[in-house]
Amino acid sequence: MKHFNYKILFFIFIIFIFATVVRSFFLADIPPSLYSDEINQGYNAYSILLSGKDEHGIFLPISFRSFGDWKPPLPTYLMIPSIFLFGLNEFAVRLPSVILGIGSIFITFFLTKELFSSNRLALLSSFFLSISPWHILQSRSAMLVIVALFFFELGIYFFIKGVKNNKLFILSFIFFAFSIYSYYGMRVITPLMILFLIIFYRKDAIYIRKWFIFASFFSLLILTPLLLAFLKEPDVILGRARTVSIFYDQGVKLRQWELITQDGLNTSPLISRFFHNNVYMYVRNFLQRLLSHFDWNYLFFIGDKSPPFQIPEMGILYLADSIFLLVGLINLLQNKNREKFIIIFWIIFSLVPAALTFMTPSSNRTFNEVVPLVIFIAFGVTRINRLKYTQIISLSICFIYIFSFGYFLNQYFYNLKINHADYWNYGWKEVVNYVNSVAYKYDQIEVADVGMPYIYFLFYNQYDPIKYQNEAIRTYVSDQFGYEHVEGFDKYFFQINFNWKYAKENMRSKTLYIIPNLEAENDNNFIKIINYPNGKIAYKIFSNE
Amino acid sequence: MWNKLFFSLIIIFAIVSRFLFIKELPPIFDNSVLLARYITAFLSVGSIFLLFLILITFNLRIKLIFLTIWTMAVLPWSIEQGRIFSQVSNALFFCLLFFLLIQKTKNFIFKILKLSFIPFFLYFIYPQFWIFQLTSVFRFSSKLLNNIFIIVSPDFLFFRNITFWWGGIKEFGIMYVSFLPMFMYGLYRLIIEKKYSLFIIFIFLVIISAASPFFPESREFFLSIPLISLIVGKGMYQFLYVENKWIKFMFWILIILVIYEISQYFHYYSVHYKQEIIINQREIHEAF
Repeated sequence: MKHFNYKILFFIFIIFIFATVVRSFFLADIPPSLYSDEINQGYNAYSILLSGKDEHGIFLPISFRSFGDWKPPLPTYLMIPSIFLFGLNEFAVRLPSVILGIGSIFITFFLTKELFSSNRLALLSSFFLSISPWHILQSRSAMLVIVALFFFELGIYFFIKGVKNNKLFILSFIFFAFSIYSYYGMRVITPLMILFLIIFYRKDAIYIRKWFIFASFFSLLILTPLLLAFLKEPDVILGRARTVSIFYDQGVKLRQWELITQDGLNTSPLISRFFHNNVYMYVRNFLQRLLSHFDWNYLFFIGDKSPPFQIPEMGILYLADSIFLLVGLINLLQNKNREKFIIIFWIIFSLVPAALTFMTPSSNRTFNEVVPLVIFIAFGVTRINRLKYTQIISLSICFIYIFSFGYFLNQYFYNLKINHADYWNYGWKEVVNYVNSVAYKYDQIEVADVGMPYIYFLFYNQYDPIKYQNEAIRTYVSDQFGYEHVEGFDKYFFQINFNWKYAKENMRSKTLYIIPNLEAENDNNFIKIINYPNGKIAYKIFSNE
Repeated sequence: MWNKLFFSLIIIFAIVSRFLFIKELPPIFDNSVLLARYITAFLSVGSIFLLFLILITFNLRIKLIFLTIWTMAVLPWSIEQGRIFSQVSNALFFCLLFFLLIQKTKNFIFKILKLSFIPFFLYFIYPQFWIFQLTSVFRFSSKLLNNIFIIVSPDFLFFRNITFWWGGIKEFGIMYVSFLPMFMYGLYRLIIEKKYSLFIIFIFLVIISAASPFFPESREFFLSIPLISLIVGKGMYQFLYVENKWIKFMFWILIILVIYEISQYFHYYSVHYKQEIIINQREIHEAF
């Protein structure tokens, strides 16, 4: 604490207040709806709270089965206290993310200070993290990666501390183990990082003593349930990784077949294999996907195109960050501090899991790199500020960032909510509310299964988990994308590939039909429509009563 | 005594000229705007008061100050805008307010913070300001930026050259993938050696290529080939003189990969390229 002074504490306090306000303001309403992954975790946390079992009736699961995927358990378990305190609603589901998001800003301060021994740089890094659109988006939604980042940062921080004070290795390994329980990508990133840190600090090898061995043993103990679960169900470890991996995608295979065919029958098979072999084609594909995360359009201009991780008309970082990021990178490379390699390898490791999948660039899977990137930006700002005309430069930087932040606020708090509510599966809450008001008139409610509606009916009705576990109709058969669907419970029935054309000609009495507008665009004999906030139709509700 | 009197008279005139018959003059068509009209009138008077306070801080002669604020109070446009809902009149009040606050602040950081809030406020108070509208200038800049980012993207540089869609080799980028470490290292060395003139030429060429109306089918970026070669060459040269034996070992591995990729290229060029071009023959409308 000897380097601490009241000025630093004051600035930390200001960042805390700012981060808290930005992350908790209208938390229940923005993003405009709970995404299916968020709501699934929320209902499962509620189910555990009331019955001790998840929606599938499994007692305290070590991995949550979710739409054919297996979700790491920690984020769901962390929701239980907030659901207990605030009830089953949007705020309670997203609250843990807000808390851990704010927490990660503080850890960034201490970590940067530990790495570069500079209060100024540490403050700037945590400040830039607090205004980062990417970090704000993840902190305001109940996604897995924000939980993983929090524990991963703690793991690195205590590892570095542990080099001097060996007892702290225990904490480090506990947090690393927690990160593995938080997000699939961490099952690749965390071991790589630990291995790197061990090699990096090999010369300070006092830790190869009892504390290090004890910490490793302890973390293995924490991971034992996961390993045992793996023996029972191998998909528990990597979840959907198999179905989204570049090896599952047929693109590379088809291209290889095309090239070999073009070689013709006169070409020796050895030559064909030399040029069109799996190793070259997959390594090239992997590198292309890895490097796509350095595309400036993705970083600063267009962003992640896959909803719900898209902020309309802006990148995952501010456009202004591009200059400071470059300057910071060059400045950091010139810096003699060897800890810079931790930051560089942190970025590389963060990209590996995403590059192994065919949906790239992905801001969700690479979220871990947000911390190293803001450290680069902070480096860039401090470097530029050392030029002549400091006052004018400071003024310009403030001006640029206030303008950028204002633009982000408009895009996130207004544009996303009003014009792009569909990114977040908007409309199901409104559907459930309406259906509840008329449900007594109907014997059966037929819902076209788009975006896993069953979980919205469970969540917003606060459906008794024990009752649901007994009456859920599900076959556990995956569709072509690997998703498992629920076919019904109580009087609700969910149909995938719902044939509305057939259904409307054979409408049953005392049955309510809920159809997405895209399926029933030209049918205007509905009894109710549910609109998006911008007035466009989201769902139509029909009945022949 | 006289000063107070003059000041009061000017303010009273401003109030009367802005609020008298404000409900009827100019005629109102929508009652919901009336409150907004009152707010503008109030802020219009406030602007005169703020101008007075600002001029005081400049230590000007009091007569000059009174004449200035009187002129502002009686200007026809000022009265006209002060009696309707006017975004620009409201914006003027906040600009003057911030200016005054900045004048009164001694601490430089707070000065910057206050000044930086001006555009932020302006955005909410005066959204019709042309700067905040997506005009064609903004659309062009946005398109240009997008194109620039495409040109400097790893995908374009190392994996897919899209500048000649029907007749080019899309399977390879501008450089071989195995050039990436050399390119990065060369770039880094040139930056720290402050060879800025090279980058100015490079940036100029990138902008020229990105601004082409035919983008991405614009081959102006080809003019940067000597510069790119220089950057990669610089990287290779520097690697040759690295003392670390592991880096040197990795470098030679890289050279083997470069050779493999060059052979890949020639194989592709001689076997696959011609087959793919034949299919596209009809689409190529230039000397080829």
